[in-house]
Amino acid sequence: MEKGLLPEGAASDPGSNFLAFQNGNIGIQALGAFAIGVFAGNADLNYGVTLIPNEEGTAASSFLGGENLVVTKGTAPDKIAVVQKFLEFAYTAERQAEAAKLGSLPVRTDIADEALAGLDARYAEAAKAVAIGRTPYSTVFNELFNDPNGPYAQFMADGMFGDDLDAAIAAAQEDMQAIVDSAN
Amino acid sequence: MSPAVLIVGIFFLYPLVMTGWMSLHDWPLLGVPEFIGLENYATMVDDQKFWSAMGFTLIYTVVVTMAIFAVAFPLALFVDQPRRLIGVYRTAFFLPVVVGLGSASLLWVWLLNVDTGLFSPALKMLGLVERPKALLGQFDTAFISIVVMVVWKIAGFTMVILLTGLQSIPHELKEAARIDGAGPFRIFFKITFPLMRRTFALALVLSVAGSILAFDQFYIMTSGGPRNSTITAVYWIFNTSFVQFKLGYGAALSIVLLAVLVLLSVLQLIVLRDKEAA
Repeated sequence: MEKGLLPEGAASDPGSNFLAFQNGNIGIQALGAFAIGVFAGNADLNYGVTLIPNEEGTAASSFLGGENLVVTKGTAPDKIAVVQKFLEFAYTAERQAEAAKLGSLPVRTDIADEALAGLDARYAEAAKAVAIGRTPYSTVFNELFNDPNGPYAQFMADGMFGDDLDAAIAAAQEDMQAIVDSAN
Repeated sequence: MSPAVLIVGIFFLYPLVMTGWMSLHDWPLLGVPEFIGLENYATMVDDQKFWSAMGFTLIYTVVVTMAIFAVAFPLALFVDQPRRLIGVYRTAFFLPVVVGLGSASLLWVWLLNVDTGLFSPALKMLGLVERPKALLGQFDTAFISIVVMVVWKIAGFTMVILLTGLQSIPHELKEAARIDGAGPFRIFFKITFPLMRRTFALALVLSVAGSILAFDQFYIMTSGGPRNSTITAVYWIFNTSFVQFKLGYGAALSIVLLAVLVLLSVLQLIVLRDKEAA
């Protein structure tokens, strides 16, 4: 990253200011679609939404995150049937539309248009990410991605403030693999 | 059983034994613990992140302890002499001690803020720097900032301990030396300094123990950054236990840290014990 493009405070920002975009002093920020719902209360804020493009601008990428519906190990078979029923219910077009109204993107791409009908058009743009986004999943996800001292945060800081991006990628790869290996 | 024994039993012995027991398990935060013997201790040998956190903690301990004594001892000598407003000086130097370490850290986070704090904007206003500098954004300045904060916060406490040592030296000794023609330097090095041995030992053990266990200021002020360069041993134990949810491994690391701390404290007490008493 060219020096001087980032605000000085960025290097020591622990992430607690990540909704500062709505203060109007930041030009561009990578955020999740949830932010559209958060910003809805701010009528003065005029902004657009687009996917994260690649270097040539020919393709886009995304990281899909969200909450999980989880069935724990050891759940009784008779309860599994009920859970199954609830999951099917949660994925109906009706429920997906309701979740969208509350600020969550529909995970069913086949009915996304239907679920988002009548909502802020920026949701539709963000919903395109569901089709192309990738979701890493792991029992050590917290260690890999959410830990503020973990390899992902380290990689971002090294990439942004360090001098050697390739080395940062290699180091993150090695760190993450070590964590995954030690979990098994 | 007397209440004191009961309290020590519940709040010290039980947790200690429990930590030792947990360290022999694969003990996830959620789920069923599994006995694995000494496997956690074997894993630790190759845990470079723990050892680098240990290394950083030792460096921090040496630097901050020297800094605290370099400030606290002159302060103690200053407030030992009878002078005007002595109560005001003593109170002022001691005041930061009664602020909680967490609150003090938060206060300094604000003072150190690059845009809205005190130091960076002040340096810019004085024309000393062209662009405000994020003091917590680089290792050197972040480390120095934390050391300065801790000295500001702790030196008053060490000063009080050293002051009690200074005041326990009988005046007759110094007077007799003065009559025998000893100058102030000679009195300081031949009488004051040797007679404060025990006080130094106490202040040193407290300071070293506190620094080895440092966590709050790093968690609050730098979150272990920039780029994980200020992660202390306790910080790593916290991450292991409550971010990675490996309570058993965290317990094993705690036991090792405890052993290191006991060893360091015993060493200090041996070095600084009274020759006559030995």
